Amino acid sequence: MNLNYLFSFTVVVALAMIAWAGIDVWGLNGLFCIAVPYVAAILFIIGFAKKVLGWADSYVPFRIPTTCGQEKSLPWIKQNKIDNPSTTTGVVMRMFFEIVLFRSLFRNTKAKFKDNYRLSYRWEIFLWVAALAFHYAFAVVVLRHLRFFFEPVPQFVQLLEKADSFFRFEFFAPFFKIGLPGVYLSGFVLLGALLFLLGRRIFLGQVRYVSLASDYFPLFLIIGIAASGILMRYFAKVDVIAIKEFAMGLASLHPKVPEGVGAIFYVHLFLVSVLVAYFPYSKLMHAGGIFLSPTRNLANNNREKRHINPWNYSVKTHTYEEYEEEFREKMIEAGIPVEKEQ
Amino acid sequence: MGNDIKPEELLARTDFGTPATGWMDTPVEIREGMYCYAANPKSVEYVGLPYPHKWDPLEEDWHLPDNWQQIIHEGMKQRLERFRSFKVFMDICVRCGACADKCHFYLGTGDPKNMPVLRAELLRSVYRNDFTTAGKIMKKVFGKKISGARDLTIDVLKEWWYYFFQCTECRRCSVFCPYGIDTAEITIMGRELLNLLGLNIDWIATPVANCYRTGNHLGIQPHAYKDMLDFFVDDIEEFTGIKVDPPQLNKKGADILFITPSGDVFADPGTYTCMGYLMLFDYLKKVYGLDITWSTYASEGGNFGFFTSHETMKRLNAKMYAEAKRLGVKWILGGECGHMWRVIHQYMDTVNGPADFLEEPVSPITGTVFENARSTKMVHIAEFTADLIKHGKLNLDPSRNDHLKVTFHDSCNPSRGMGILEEPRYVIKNVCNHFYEMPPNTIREQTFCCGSGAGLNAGENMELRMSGGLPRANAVKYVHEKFGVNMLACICAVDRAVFPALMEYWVPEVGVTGLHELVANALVFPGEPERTMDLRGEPLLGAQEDVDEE
Amino acid sequence: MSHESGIAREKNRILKAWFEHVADTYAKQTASFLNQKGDRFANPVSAIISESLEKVFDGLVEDAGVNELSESIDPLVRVRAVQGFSPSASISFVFFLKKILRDVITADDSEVAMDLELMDKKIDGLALICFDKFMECREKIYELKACEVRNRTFRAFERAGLLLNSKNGG
Repeated sequence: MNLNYLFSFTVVVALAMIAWAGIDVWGLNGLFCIAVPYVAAILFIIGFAKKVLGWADSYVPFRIPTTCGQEKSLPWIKQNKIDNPSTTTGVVMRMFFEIVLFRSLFRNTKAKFKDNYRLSYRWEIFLWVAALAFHYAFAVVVLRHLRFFFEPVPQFVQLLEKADSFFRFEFFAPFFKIGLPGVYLSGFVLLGALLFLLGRRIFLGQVRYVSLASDYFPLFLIIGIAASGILMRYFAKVDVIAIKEFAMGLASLHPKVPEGVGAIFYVHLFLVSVLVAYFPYSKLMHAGGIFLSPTRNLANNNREKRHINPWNYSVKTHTYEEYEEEFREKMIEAGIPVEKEQ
Repeated sequence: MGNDIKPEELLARTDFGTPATGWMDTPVEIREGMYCYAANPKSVEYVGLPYPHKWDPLEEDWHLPDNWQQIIHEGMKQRLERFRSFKVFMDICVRCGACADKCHFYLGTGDPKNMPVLRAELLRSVYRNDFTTAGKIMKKVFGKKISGARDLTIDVLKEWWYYFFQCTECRRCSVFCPYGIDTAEITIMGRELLNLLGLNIDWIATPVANCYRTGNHLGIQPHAYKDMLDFFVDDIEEFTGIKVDPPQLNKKGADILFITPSGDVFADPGTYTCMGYLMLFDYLKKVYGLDITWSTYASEGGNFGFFTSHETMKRLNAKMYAEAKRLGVKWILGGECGHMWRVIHQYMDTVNGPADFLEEPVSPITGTVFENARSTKMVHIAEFTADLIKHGKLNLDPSRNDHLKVTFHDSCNPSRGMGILEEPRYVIKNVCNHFYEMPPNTIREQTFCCGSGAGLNAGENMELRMSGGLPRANAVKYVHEKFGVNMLACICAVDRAVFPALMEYWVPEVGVTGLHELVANALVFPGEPERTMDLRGEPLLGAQEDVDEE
Repeated sequence: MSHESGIAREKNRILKAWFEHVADTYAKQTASFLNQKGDRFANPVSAIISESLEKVFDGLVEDAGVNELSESIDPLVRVRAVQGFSPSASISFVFFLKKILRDVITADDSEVAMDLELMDKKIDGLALICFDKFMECREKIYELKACEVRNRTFRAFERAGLLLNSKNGG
C-alpha cells in the first residue's frame, strides 16, 4: 500500500462528497455554484501569470540547447535542422513537434533491437500514446464545453462535436441505453488514457518510487471529472438547458444558481473548480513551462552568433604576465619565447 | 545494528532490497568505491573558492560553517534568479519516468537515486520547501511525505554531495525528457551550491588549482611541456621514419593557435593522438605552408572549472582568448575533447567574448570559411580535418589502419551539447577500411557516457566508474564479439583517459584511440620511407618482416 | 551420468525463478526494472543476468567443465563485483538454484532424487568457481585503482625521460 495514492484518492473522494453535501445537505448553492468557480478562476489567472512572469523574470545567461542531431557545420554535411536547429525557423519546428507530438517522449520507443523484444517496450510506446491520447482528448472535451458558453454554438465547436461522435455506436437494453445522445469518443479516450497513466504509476516499480502525492492527485481529480461528466451525459441525463443558462450567466458575470440539475452536476463543477485553482501551483504548469525550456527553445548557433549574458561579471584570472613572472627562467632556458627577457 | 544474523540467514539477506522505504526516508549511505575523496583545502584556497577546510565524507561531522543552511538558501535564491533553466526545471517535472532508465549510472549501479528524476528531486524537495508557498503550506498540513517538500538537513546535504558527484552531466536524460529537463544543469547548480561550503572533490579541485597556476590540469611547467612535445617528435621519427619539425610554441604572429587538453600531451593513449596532431600540422606546413602555434600558457583545453562553478569555468577559460590576443593569431583551432568543447561551443563567447580581435576562421589550405564559428572564432579539429579530406588535400592510405577494426564512441558533450556527429565519422571512414557502428540506441545523441566524465575520473571511485561505464562497454563488447572490433575511437580526452581501464575490466581485447592517431597512421608524407609500424610501434598488417608476436 | 532430463524440461520455469531471485537482490524498484527486461543495450544488467544464468544452467545440465562454467558465469559476477554488494551477497545467487530446483521438481522416484543430489554437488562447485571469479574481478579493480595513473601518465613521462624532472620541479 502506498500512502501517496491512497491520500490523493481520499482527497478527491472527500472533495466530491463536500460538493454533494454542500448542495444537497447544507444547501450552499450560492457558495458552490457561484463563489467557488469565480475564486478558482481568479486563483488560476493570478497563479498562472505569477508563475510565468516569475520564469520570464529569470535570466537566460547561456544558450544551452540539448542537441539531438547533426550540427550545422560544413556545407556538404547534412544538418538535422529540427533536432539541432540553427535558425529560428528550426527552433519553431522543434518546439512544434515537441509540443504537438511529444517528440522527445517518442524517442523512448525508437531503436529497438530484434533480440529480446519484450514487454517493457510496449509499456513505453503506451506512455507516449497515452500521453498524446490524454492531452488531445482533454483538449477536445474542453473545446466541446464551449457549447455551454455560447449561443449560437460556434461553428467549429459543432464541427468538433460531429467529428468526435463520428464513430456512432448504439446499445439498447431494457434498463440501459447508450448511443442516445450521440457518444463522444473523447470522453472515453480521456478516461482510458487516465486509467492507463494511473496504472503505470501504481504498477511500474520505478515510476511508483518517484511518484509523489501531487502526481496522483491530478490523475484522480481528472478521473473524477471525466467520470462525473460521462455519468451526467449518458446515465443521469441532467437538464442541459438549465446548465447552459447557468454557464452563460457565469461567463457574462450575471451568475444565477441553477435549479434542479442534480447533485452529480455540482460534483462535476466543484472538481473542475478545484482543478482550475490547483493548476498554477502544481506540476500541471509544465503546460506553460515547456515553452520556456532553454534546452529546447534556443537555436544551436552558439559559435555563429554571440549570446549575451546580462549579468556577466568580470573575474580574477591568472594573467600571462603573472604566469611568465613565475616561469620566466625556465621558459628562457627551454627556448620558449618570452615577453620580457631579463 | 540489531542481532547478529545466523549463517543460514545469509542467503536470504540482500544488500539493497530492504527496507522498502520511500526515497526521502532512505538515508544516504556513502559507499566505498562510489565516491571521490574530499578536496585538498590548499587547492580550494589557491583559486580563492569559498570555505576551504579539511573534511572527510565518511566522518559524521563535515565541519561546515554555522550558517551553512543560510548560505545554501541564499545561493539557491540567487541561482533561481540568474538561471531560468534552474527555475523552470524545478517547477515543471511531472515525474513521468521517461528519464529513469536512461542514466548509465542507474543502469549500471541499480541505485534508484541515480534515476535522473530522483537526482533532481533531491534539490526539488528543498526548493518546494524553501521557495514555493504551496509546498510550504502542504508540508505544514500534511507532512513531508505527502508534500514532497523537506527541510535542508545535514543528511540531505550529504545526499546531494554523494549523488551530484555520481552524475557525469552527460545530458542523455535530457534527450528523452518531454520538457528537455537537463540533469546536467541541475547537477551544475547542485555542485555550485556545494562549492559554497567548500565541499568539492579533490580530483576536480586540484586540477583546477593546477590549471589556474600552470595553464594545465596536471601542473606541468612550461619547459616540461616543451620537452614532452619534443619527445613526440623523436618518437614519430623512430616509428615512421619521418622527421617532423618541433612544434612552434608561444609564437607571435602565427596564423592559428592550437589548444588541446593536456591529457593529450601527458597521458597514454592521448599521447598518440597528440603525435597525430603534430604529424598532421607538419604535413600541412611542408605541403601547404600552414603556420600554427601551440601555447604553454593556454596549454589546457579541458576545463575542470566547469565541474565546480560557472565562475571558475570562466576564470580558467579566459586563457584561450587572452593568449590568442597576445599572440595576435587569426583564429583558434581546438583539439579533441568533450567538455572542453561544451565550454567553447556553448559558453566561451558569452563569458569571455566578444572575440573581435580575431578573424572569421578560414582554412588557409582549402579556403573554406567556417561560418558556424563566425563569432566564437574557434574551429573543432574534426571539422578542420574533414574539410581537408573532402577537398582532397591529404594523401591518405587507409590500409595502414587495416590491423584495426574500429568503432566510434560519440562523446557526450560534443554530441548532445554541440552535435558533431558526422565529421568524425567522415574522417574515420576515410582513414580506416574497417569501421563498425555500435547499436543505434547507444550512439550519436543517444550515446552512453564513459561513466567517468565531469571530473569523476579518479581512482578511488573505480567501482562507480566501472558500473557507470557498463552500458557503454556492453555495446563495445557486442561489436567486438560480432565484428571483431579491436579499437574504440573517440574525440574526448577524458574518454581516452578512462576507457583503457573500462575496457580492461569489461572487454580487455579492445584498445582506445583518438581520431588523429588514425589520421596520422594513414597520412602519406611526400617521399616518406615505407612504414612498418603504427604510432604505437605495433606492426602494420602486411609488414610481416619482423612480426614475432601479436 | 544421468541426463537430468526432468530438470532440463523445466528449464524455462527454473530460469525465470532464478532470474527473479537475482533481481530481488537489488533495490526493490530496481528489481522491477530488471524484470521488465527489454533491449539488451537499454537494460544491460537485466540482459547479462538472463544470458549468464541460461548459459550456466545449460552448462550444469550438460556436464560442462570448470572452464566453460567459469566463462558462462563471468559476465554476471563481473557486474556484481562493482555494484557494491558484500562478497557473500555477490555470489549468494548460486545457492538459490538449489531451492528453486526443489520447488519445481518433485522427487517422486529415486532417479529424480539422485539427479537433484548430483545437481547440488555441481552447484557447490559452481559456487567455488564464482568465488574465484569474484576475487579475480576485485583484484582487477584494485589493480586498476593502484596502477591506472601510473600506467597512463607515468608511462608517458618515463618514455619521455621526464620522470625525474617532474618530481624535482614544482
